[in-house]
Amino acid sequence: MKPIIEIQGIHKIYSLGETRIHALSGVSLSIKRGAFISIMGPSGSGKSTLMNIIGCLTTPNSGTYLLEGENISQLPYSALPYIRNKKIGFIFQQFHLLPKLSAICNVKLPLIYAGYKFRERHLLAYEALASVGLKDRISHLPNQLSGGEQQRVAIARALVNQPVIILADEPTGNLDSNTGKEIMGIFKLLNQQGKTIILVTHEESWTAYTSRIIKLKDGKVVEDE
Amino acid sequence: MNRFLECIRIAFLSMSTNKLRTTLTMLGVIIGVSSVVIVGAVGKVGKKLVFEELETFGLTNLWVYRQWEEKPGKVEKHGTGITNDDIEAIREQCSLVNLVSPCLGKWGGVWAKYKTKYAKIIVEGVDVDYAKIDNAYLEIGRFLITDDIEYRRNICIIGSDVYQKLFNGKEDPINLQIYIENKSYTVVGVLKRKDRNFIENLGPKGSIPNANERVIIPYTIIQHQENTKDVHYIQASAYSKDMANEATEQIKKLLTKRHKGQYTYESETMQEHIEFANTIINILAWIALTAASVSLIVGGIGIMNIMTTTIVERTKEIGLRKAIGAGDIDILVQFLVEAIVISLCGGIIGIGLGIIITFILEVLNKYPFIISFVYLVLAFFVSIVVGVISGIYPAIRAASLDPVEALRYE
Ligand SMILES: Nc1ncnc2c1ncn2[C@@H]1O[C@H](COP(=O)(O)OP(=O)(O)O)[C@@H](O)[C@H]1O
Ligand SMILES: [Mg+2]
Repeated sequence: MKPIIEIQGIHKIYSLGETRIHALSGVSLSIKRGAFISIMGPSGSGKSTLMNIIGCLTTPNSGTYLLEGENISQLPYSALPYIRNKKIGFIFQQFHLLPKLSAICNVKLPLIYAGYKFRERHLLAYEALASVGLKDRISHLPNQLSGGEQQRVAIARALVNQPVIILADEPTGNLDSNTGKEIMGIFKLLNQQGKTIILVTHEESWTAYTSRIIKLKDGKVVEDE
Repeated sequence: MNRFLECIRIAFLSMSTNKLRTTLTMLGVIIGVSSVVIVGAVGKVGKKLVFEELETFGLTNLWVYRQWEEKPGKVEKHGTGITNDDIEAIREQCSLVNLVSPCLGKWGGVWAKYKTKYAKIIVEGVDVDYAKIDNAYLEIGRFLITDDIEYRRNICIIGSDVYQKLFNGKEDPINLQIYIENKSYTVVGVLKRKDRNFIENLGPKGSIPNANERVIIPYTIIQHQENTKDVHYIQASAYSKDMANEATEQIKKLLTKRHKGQYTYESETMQEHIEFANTIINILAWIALTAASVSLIVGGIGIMNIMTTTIVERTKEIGLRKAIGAGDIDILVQFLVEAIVISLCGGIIGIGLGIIITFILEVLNKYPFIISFVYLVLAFFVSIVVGVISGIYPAIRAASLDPVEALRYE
């Protein structure tokens, strides 16, 4: 089976005035469909940068990136929002829910950009919220939800448009360990249902859920098992 | 369409979370737009009132008279340059002239007397067609007839002020005798009142200050008194008001020809007065609109300011929207729509306010309640344009934000 993600010699350089920061220097990876991968490494090692490249939020300075065989590095900038919308489900440490929108409206957002009609949006968003156990919280505003619930809304938002890959950048970083476990349980379930998941984490214990651990240091892969 | 409606919904949501700020922002647009509506309405009422006023004096009216100011170096000529024969010739030869009347006036310091009462008057000696030319309607009695002219009957038709002063406005004046310059005239009619609020001066060089102070007599009487066949000026009417200027030219050309270029003639038409009044009203409207546009510019700057603030506050939202699939154009449209919605709300409130103020102004002044629809539409579009202009720059800035940076923004 062809890998879902193929990365070859990716470099990402940030220029801050005079200094140039090598966030990634020559990362190569291949990820199979249905994998559950954890990326670890010290702060500043380039984990988020790698996730942003995989999630098409930013483009590398050099190297190639194939997503489902499609060469992302060659796509025009204007095509990237479509890829992010259809293929990527992002989950962030800070949840990034829109504070004025109810849970279900937050979940609907990707569907708006996907062009779904109102009825379909409502139905799909409701199902996504139900699948993370928030059936009875759909009209709550984010500040009326606990941290764990907020992150579950964010997961529902990531899932709602049926992405091929879920990218979770330290999703439990703002949660206590019990709530973290709940979230990890959801990821495990999703993976069992066939979703490809990439998880950035500092928690050694979460690696038990995953099938492969990639360790980064100074923008390079130092361990891959 | 779907996305667009969503943009409008989001716009209202974000406006409603900061009501005071939004309202203050709208203020400039509200004031500007309501001014536009008021200016439009007042201008329209003004034109209508001027038109109606001039209509009472006959819209097709025109005056022709000799230019009295001689150019230096010329030998002074006698006579008015217009004779009874000229009037006949005009009747026969000027195709655009409908009716024509010779006019002879006594304008300065003439008094009429009835028993012990006096009234300051203007005497106008005219022909039978004068009533139609001048739209002179009668309150009671009759106007001049051909026999009055031919036999120089000592009769008169009096203006309403004269009627008030001599007869208290009560007594039936018909067939009573009044005295003008020690000659007695029998009153045969009283003219309807004609008020003039807007146009001060009508007639040759504005010689008719108040139509209600007139006493009309057969022109032949004055000619007989002055022992002349000259007339002071011609008052005529064209077949339509658009022909008035051309009809005037016909008369002037004919007179010049008949007198072999001896005199120079001047003229006035009602049409010119209407155009002049409208020009003044338009100039005033432009001045007011300029003032209104200052307010609209201030409103636009306010919206630009609030949009910039909003975008900074919502940087994370922009990052998140981009991360889940919003393109640059989606973000641009979202914030542009938001700016337009703010401006348009201001515009709609402004239109409402403008209509209310117009209503109050017009009703207080007992004018008819008139709104200029053109200016309503103008106001509506102006508020959209203000929204677009003031929203486009912040919206472009929002659209060009880098999603990763935006998500990291604290
Ligand atoms: N937008 C940016 N501008 C400049 N430097 C950046 C930017 N984003 C990340 N970096 C730098 O790149 C390196 C990797 O960052 P990041 O991928 O966020 O690390 P991690 O997620 O592993 O903590 C760090 O040194 C960070 O300071
Ligand atoms: Mg990070």
